[in-house]
Amino acid sequence: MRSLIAFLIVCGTALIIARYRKKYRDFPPFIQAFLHSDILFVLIGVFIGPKLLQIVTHNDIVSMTPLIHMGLGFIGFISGSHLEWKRIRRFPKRFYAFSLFESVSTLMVVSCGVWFFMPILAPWESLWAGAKYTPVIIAGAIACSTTPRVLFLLAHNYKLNSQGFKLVQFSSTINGLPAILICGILFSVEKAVAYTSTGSNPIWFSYNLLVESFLWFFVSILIGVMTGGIFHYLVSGIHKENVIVSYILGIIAFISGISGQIALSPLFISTVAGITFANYSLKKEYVYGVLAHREHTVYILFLVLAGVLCEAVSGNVIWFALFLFIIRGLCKVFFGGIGLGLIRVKEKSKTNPFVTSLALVPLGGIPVAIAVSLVLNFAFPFSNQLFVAVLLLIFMNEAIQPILVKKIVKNG
Amino acid sequence: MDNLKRDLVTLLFLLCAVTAFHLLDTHKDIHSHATFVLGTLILTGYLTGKLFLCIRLPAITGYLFTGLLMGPYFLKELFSISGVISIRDVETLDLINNIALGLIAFTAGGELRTGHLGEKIYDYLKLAFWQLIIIFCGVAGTVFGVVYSFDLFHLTFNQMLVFGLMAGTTATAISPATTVAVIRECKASGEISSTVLGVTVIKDVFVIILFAITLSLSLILLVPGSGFNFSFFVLLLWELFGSFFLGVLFGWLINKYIDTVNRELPIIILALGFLSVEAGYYFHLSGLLICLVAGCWVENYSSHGKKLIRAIEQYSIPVYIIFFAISGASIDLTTMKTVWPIGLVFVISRLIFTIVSTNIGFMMVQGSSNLKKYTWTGCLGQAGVTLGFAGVISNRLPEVGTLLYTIIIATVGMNQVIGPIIFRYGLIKSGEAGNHS
Repeated sequence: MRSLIAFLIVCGTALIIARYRKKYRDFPPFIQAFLHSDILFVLIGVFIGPKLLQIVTHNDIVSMTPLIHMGLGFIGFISGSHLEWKRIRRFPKRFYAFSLFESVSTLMVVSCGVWFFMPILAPWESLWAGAKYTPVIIAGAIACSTTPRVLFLLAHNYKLNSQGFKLVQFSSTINGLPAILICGILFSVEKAVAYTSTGSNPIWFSYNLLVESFLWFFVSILIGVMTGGIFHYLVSGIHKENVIVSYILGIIAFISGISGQIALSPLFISTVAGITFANYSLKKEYVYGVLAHREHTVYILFLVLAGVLCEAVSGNVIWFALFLFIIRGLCKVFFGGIGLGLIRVKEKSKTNPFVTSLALVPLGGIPVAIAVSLVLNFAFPFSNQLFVAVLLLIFMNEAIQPILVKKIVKNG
Repeated sequence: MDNLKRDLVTLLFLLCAVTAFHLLDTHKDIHSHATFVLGTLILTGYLTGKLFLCIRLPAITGYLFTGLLMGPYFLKELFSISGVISIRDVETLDLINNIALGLIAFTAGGELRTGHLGEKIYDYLKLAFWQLIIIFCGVAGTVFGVVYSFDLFHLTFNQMLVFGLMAGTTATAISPATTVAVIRECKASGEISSTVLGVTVIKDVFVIILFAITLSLSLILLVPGSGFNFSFFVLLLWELFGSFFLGVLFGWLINKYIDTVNRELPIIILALGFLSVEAGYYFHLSGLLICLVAGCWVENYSSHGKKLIRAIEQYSIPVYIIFFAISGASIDLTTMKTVWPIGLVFVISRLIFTIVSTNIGFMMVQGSSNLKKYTWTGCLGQAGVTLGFAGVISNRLPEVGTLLYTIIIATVGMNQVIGPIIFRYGLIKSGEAGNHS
């Protein structure tokens, strides 16, 4: 009875919010932003999960894991399918240079920051022993991506079309790729460590480990290319939308399942599959249309399930999240501003590059996907802490979003 | 022909890839293996379904066949090697399978229009009643007669009676999921489709009542000194009325949701499907009935019926594939091998009494010659409800429970294979296939 009452409470609250949503304008801006943001779905997941209302129990999570795996694959496939060579080569080289500069610099600084300050920030540091590099690299990878959604909304609602803003917008669509690449490499290295390590003395930079890691990375690419090819072949003669939906769900479950089976990154492999499909298929526009219709539904489902996965962690994780939030924000603004300054974008009106680069701060799906894949695939004791830290980081970013938007719009 | 060749090549390639990964499988992570199975079933199931359509068999039989081929029993029986789908995978995917069943029940409910149902309700009630009585008595008598005459399984007289009673009861159940899936697949519309669907839903309610009565009787026969158990009837009333009211509540919630929010409808339906399953499990309600009533409520008491059906329709193919392929994977060939003679008696007598009862029903109900000739074809498929009964029988009835469970599982497998094929044939022959715009 408890779970039924809990569910009805959630439904009732959602309906009441929907009914009175026109009165949002009276709420403070950060609450407005929160009610419109996707983090709300993660919170719904936390509420209905085993830690609070228990509508979804631990047994249900076990049964729902295939759906979470599929969510990861879906995010990767969508990210990869944006990378059509014919389309992206139209952009000038400086766009790539800017994107690479701001994302890789952020990644390196955040990784170094986490490496040095981890013992102070995280008393659960003892849990990290023996695998310190993993959270450090993952934290860096998470920090380098930006959600393109906020920038597209800004461009659409406020008609922002300065060169600097376009550059930042472009960067937001591809700066998550280093994170996905790192995820692919990290999983390959972990796989190689599992193969080469004797258990008592894991040799880090040995020749064998390097070759083994490279081999597994190559296997990841091979599986991605193969499954992308199968998908291209499957949809080539199909015109019905629900058949394409079946194939999309099927291939994503297939990729996620295979990668999980051989302990490689589902996010990376599905990204490679997405890239393969985008560059070989003639039907991609139609498939993109179908994907775009379902993207939000699958993404929301994934966020709710990610919230359900959330475990209780110590209060110290807030400090770690706060540190990530500050250092990432500073890096994005600083390196974005420097990048825009170095490229010397010609503008009619004078805009402050450091203010424009505030648009690089919003954070979205890829970090959640990386954190979830860490929780699902590695039984590191710190995985849950890092996962909660990422959720808090996104929440903090959502909270300051109205202030950022105001400043960016004012700057033009 | 080119498409057929391409599908065949893709299917073969996929099967090779699946076999390779299955053989190389080192990690043995149950969850990712279940995801892998899910993907494999959706891709190969759809292609097999297409190939089955080419040889004029229903696509859902193709989905069943895929599940059977990759399931834990088929390859083990034939070549003593383990199938791609293990028993643990079937258990892991149980929740997704149940949600799929919930979504199919939403569709079935959405197909029931009270305007039409109101006009025909007495006809459907009469048909369902006669089917229920005749199939129950006929199958129970036949099975009892065979077991008694040949002294099968060396049972006592009371045990033989229970055997007959339970066989008769489970024979009356039809699968609404199979009915809806075949109607949708054939794009059928007309009097046969609506009659079969109406009778199936009404019978679903009747069967639950009959099951409670016969289970109580069986316990009296098997357990010495036990009286008639009224708690079963309280439970039964709770199951029927509780499911009905929860279904109405869910239907009302969907209406309100579409009125006020109208975003991400598939997620809400998925959540309600999940909750119906959970409610069924924890509160002894029928998840199937909850979803049926909710779908029916939305269709008939709001203008959102089409929206609901469209939202589910987007994901209908994978939903059907998952449900039927897992049903196929659950067909226990090892068991079937041991009880097939009595299973065959069960299936044949059910088939005969279904034809007889439908014809007797039509003596009291007006209908076209087509309706009289082909309605029985839609009353053969069996799935979830019957399997649920089998589980209860196995747990509650001492001594004969396990044996009955084995036989029921085997017969459900046989009926699920022949049911869709015969119903598709009926819809095509009657000219209803392809009528739906």
